[in-house]
Amino acid sequence: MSLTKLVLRNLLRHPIRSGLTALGAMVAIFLMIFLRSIVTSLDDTTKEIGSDRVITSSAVSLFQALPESYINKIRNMDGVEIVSRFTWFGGYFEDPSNFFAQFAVDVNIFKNIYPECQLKEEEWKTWADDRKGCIIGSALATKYGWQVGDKIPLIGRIYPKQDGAWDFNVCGIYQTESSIFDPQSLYFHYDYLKETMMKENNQDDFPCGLFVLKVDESDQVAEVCREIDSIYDGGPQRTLSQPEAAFQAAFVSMLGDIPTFLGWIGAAVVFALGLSLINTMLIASAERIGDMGVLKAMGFSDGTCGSLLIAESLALSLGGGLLGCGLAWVSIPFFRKLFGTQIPRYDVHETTILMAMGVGLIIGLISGIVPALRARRLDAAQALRSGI
Amino acid sequence: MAFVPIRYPIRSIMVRWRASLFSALGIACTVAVFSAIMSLRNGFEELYATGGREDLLVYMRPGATSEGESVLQGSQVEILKKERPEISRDADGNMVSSAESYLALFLDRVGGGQTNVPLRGVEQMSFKIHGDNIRLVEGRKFTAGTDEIIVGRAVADRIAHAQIHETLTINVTPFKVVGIFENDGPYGSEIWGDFDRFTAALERPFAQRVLAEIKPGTDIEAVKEEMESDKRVPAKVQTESEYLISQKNNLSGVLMILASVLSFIMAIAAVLGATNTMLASVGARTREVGVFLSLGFSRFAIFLAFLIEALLIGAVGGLLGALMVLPFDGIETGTMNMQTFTEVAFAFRVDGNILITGAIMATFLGVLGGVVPAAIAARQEPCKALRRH
Repeated sequence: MSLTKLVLRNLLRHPIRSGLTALGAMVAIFLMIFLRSIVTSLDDTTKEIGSDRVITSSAVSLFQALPESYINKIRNMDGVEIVSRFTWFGGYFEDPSNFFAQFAVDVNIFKNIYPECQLKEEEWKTWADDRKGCIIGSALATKYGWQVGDKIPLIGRIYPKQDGAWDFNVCGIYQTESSIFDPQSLYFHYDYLKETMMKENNQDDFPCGLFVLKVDESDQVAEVCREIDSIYDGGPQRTLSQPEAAFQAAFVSMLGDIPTFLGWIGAAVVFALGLSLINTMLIASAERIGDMGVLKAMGFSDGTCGSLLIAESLALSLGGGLLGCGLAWVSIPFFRKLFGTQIPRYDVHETTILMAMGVGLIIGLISGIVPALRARRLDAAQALRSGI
Repeated sequence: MAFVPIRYPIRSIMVRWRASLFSALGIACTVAVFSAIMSLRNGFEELYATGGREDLLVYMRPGATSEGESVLQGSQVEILKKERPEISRDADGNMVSSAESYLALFLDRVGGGQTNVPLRGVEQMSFKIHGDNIRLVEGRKFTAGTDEIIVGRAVADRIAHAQIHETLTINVTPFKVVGIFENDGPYGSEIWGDFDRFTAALERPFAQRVLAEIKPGTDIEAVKEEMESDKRVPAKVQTESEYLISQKNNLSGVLMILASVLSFIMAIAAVLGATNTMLASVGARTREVGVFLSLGFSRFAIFLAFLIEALLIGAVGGLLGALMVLPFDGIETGTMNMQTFTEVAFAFRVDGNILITGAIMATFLGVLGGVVPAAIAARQEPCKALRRH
């Protein structure tokens, strides 16, 4: 009988116990991957973002708009190809809990700045021609069952309208293959927002939330940012220009201590897994003392006897771990749905899986080594006597 | 009916103390994670639940769900402040009402990174309205009409250049920190200064809300209804405590889900661990069970003995879990409140409820892990059991 077979037989000696332990390992590895994936998915929102895009916003506050006239100077700067006005609308559909992002943009420029946004050519055209037109992401369309031609009434919290809701005509449903472009947003005409609000409030200007720029060459980004900000350093409103990735990263950094907290929970999970596995292996090895005596009496070396226990422990932790990885993988769509817009791009990275399996390996080794050392030290005669 | 003496399960735990301790620790980890998240939620809720008063009214623009979304123009503010009949008057005959402006500022954290900190422009009357809820603990109040600010304790600790005597630049105007205050609610995470000076520094010539103290006995519901359809200045009216409670919903719910999901999954692992330990314990004492049965103890008594052993392991786990989570009590932390998009500081609050829930949960998990092994033990045949070595 080969040694591999012996390990297998040993595992099956107490099928319930082995099963429970492997299941425990599965749950723990799954949790570890899940927690880590929350953090990486949040970070992901900032990666792979077009490196030729710059966002100019108020340096003072996220909620402070900029004078619209700023766009003229920015547009004419060296290195800047195109600029779009961009404003967060912050409305809701029927009930405040129906939350998704809406932005007012310059349609034709937006099209050239965001190649991630895939729309049929004729849909771009109908949108451009319809003052009240909007486009919505495929995921948003699925969620509410909206189709091209529908009217979406939105209540403006930041931009209220005297007569109630804003009506937007759906001109197109965009697709996106990029993992950073939100498929649950709505985009509409900046001028529709601006003109309506100026009329509502009897004002003759309307400040703009932020400007999105495309630079000619991506190596000019830093230079362009510096130049824009230096123009307005003395006011009236200071600007902060940064690559789009940095702008998005700021949102993640605002989560404060939560990612650290998730890390601590992860550590508790690993600790609990380690305990449970060591426990099982100690129980198993205590029962195996007699077996060890037999093996040693037959001439197997101390090292072989020890490695049998290590192999058994590794089989449990890695076997359970693999199941955990599978579970984490299969559950991605479920968690995407659960988190909704909170973490729109929940995903499990290969590195996370590797890390989790690494932890499983280490815990398996440690849990095996503790009883293995004991097994090594056993004297064959004594073991035979006490075991049987 | 004879029961197996309680000494038996206790001794059994002592003999197999290592395995028992390991599974108790597994349960302890589960309980600790649950309690830690719940105490975080507790601290967050407490911030909004205790901070508000029933005799203060908040007037905002209709439709606004938080201050950041509300805009009240100067003329509207004057009408609300001076002409509303429900607002009380102080000893000198002044209306006890004040305009407040609110803007979340980008500021640097101590230790790197940026965050959103609420800046609140207030008038001198504001201090009278908030009264003892705003406790100055260091320095002094800002002087009206000057570029001076006071900051909440959490801001002084967490934000760069916000210590007393330091200078914080808002847009292009330097403001001097002259005092530090404390507040049990979210105001403790804010920066306060002169309403008019903030308006000038930020070029925002409007207010976000009017806050006023009302006469005792005012029919608040009637005021709400009246203001909703007011011809000159329609406004959304809430008591201060209603307002604060409406600001907490999001994170609180997220933490609740997190606590439930995580502790449920960890509980599965912990129960598996406890079952394992109990199975081994039962397996090792098959002969003893045989002895008990032949002595005439009932199967139920045996079942109970092993269940009690599992229950004790769970109880020890609960105790250890409580010990793990207690050090968290009072630790200050901060995160973004998605409703206002600003950072709020709050502390873990471990209270009796959480500890008791944790203890019950631990005991339950222990029992759950013990049911199957105890049933296996009780179902042995005495002769066979005695024959096993």
